[in-house]
Amino acid sequence: MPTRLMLLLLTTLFACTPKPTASAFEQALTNTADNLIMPWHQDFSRSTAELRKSLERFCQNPSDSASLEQSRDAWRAAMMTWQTLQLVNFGPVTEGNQAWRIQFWPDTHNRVGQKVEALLAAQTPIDATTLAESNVLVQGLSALEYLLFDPSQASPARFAEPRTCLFLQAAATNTQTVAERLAHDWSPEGGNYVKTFLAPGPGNLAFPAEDDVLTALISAMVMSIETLKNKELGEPFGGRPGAGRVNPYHLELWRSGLSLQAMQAELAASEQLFLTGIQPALIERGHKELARRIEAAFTDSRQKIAPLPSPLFVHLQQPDALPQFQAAWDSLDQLLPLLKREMPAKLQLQLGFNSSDGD
Amino acid sequence: MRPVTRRRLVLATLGGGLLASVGARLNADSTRFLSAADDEQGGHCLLGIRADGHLNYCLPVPHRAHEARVLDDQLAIYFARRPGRECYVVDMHHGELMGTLNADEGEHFCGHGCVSEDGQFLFLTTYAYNRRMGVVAVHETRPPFRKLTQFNTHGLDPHQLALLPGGDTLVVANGGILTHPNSQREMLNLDTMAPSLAYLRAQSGELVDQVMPPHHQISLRHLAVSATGLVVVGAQDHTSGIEARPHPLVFQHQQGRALREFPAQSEDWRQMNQYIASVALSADGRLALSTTPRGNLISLWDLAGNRLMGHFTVRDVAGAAWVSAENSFMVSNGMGQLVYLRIAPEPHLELATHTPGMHWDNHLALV
Repeated sequence: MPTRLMLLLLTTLFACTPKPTASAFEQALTNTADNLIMPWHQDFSRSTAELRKSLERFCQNPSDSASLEQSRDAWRAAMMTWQTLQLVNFGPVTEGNQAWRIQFWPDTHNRVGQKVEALLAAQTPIDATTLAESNVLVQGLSALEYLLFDPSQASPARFAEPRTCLFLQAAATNTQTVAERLAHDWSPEGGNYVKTFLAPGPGNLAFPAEDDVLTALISAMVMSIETLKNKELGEPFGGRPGAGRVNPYHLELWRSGLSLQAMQAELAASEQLFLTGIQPALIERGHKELARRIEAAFTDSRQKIAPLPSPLFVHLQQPDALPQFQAAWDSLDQLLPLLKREMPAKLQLQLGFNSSDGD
Repeated sequence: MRPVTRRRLVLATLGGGLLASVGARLNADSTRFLSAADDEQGGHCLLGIRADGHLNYCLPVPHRAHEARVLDDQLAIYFARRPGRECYVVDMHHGELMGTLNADEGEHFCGHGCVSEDGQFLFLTTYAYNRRMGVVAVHETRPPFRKLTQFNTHGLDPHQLALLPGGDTLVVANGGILTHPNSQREMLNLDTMAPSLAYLRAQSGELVDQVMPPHHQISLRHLAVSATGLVVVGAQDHTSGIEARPHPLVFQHQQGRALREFPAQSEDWRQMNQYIASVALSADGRLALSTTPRGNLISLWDLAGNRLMGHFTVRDVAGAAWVSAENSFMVSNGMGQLVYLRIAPEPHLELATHTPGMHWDNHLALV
């Protein structure tokens, strides 16, 4: 009897013992893939499919202004899912420059508009297949923004032209194809890049060590916040708020008026990535205090950006709004060195050795 | 000529002794690749790497090096990264630092050098910053590495150089950027920079040909020369606001003709992020390779067919060399990976080795 009891106890004991536990970082990576990267791809696929359908409906009756508004909403939704997804700047998106095919920015010389006009004025066939082989400037959401939102464009007469609607549908179809391809390349049923991402190790060309995944995630975040601070917020002010000549046409997404929402989506994506994928590693390696400071810095930037007057295109030049813009810029300026210098130094990571060489 | 320090003389003598005692053998244990590297703590070192990726030596040094070259069967030199003033001479067989080759007062090295065909002369790109002049410093290839003369490169910021087949002509990539050691590596003349590819007589330094890139901010920096004298050049572009119409970054040139950009679309150049780190050529001169760490890409070019064969993703990639025995290119990166680009049956990547914690620096040299 005692033996049997022992056996039972032992069995119970073993049953309760969890499998060899994944490290906090392994778990964080899994969460990053399951809760961020994969759903972000699905959202983008879904929203670009909606956009295509919406434009097909609109093009059946291009004079219907309600239908145009629906298409504009669908475009906004697609662009916002891209603003989140674009944080993932490694893996399939780098093969053949997919990001540029979706959004082309900065575009200080309005090349997107020029290329779209040239294409519409030409006699060449317009369809998604042809477009996929064309210049990236005319392939995706930026070209659609030009036609759907540019003040000089969005007139009923314009949409009545057959080539305009052919183009709207072709660009939307192409964008959906790119989105689905990206999702497919990450998916276990497709290219299975998620396996590459989750299994760093000596045989893994992209990520030979755990630290290399961590480096890729931190680099992605740094690049996104740098773009946010210097290009999206700084450039329209000629460098930084209060420093130079204000030019609202240097705002990202000025035509659609989504400049502020885009900044918020990008910052939110980075914050989520930090909390989900990076903070656990930071804490696991004994840098709890730094983890807390970064978390607080994200919160501060989020709070400083939220109240900016939208659309930025309209309010950028208001003198009384300048302190708010400066506060947002200063906050990002506090966040960035934590991510770019302090965290890599503490984790003994090098964010791009040769890429920052300059020789 | 500059006086030889006592330390250098001692090291040099030691080097000569070893040279006599050790014959040249190349077997599995031999050093096959040379590279500079940084370790996990950011310390700089000089590496000798076996064909299987094993490190034969890893010598810590105070300053970062750039390219390395073999001087003879035994000695290799690791050139100082700009604005460094100290090149390191290493005994590859024993994995020992034998001495240094130092820049003259008012000058610093620019990261590259090459050796004459008879093995007698070492040519180093050098910047005489006090005179605001790019020069090729000509040194002896044996201890104590006396400086014999120097030539004007006819441009600022001379970077990589090579000898044309026959050994009579040097080709130098003048990056065109004005810097000063006191301002570190800050670029001081973005508006007026004048990069070029200059051909000089190796004997006299006489300028025999010079071509400019299509835009004055395309800094020509790296090059490789084929057996027929075709020069492949890689650039770093400092023009801003050209995302929609990026400049070409890889060119080919034959002395006496015009500089020709490689055939590629805006999309291709854009992916390279205005930055080429290295170029390499296959032994038969049919294939060229360019690396871009900012684009995390290597690009394979078919010179014979005048076309881009494709891009391959390798993160933070920079160093490149052709490995004839493998009929492959090999590239190195900041993650401590050595990766083959196999040519046959279809071009594809194959991981050769990985050294965790090591960041391979900009160039990879084959012994």
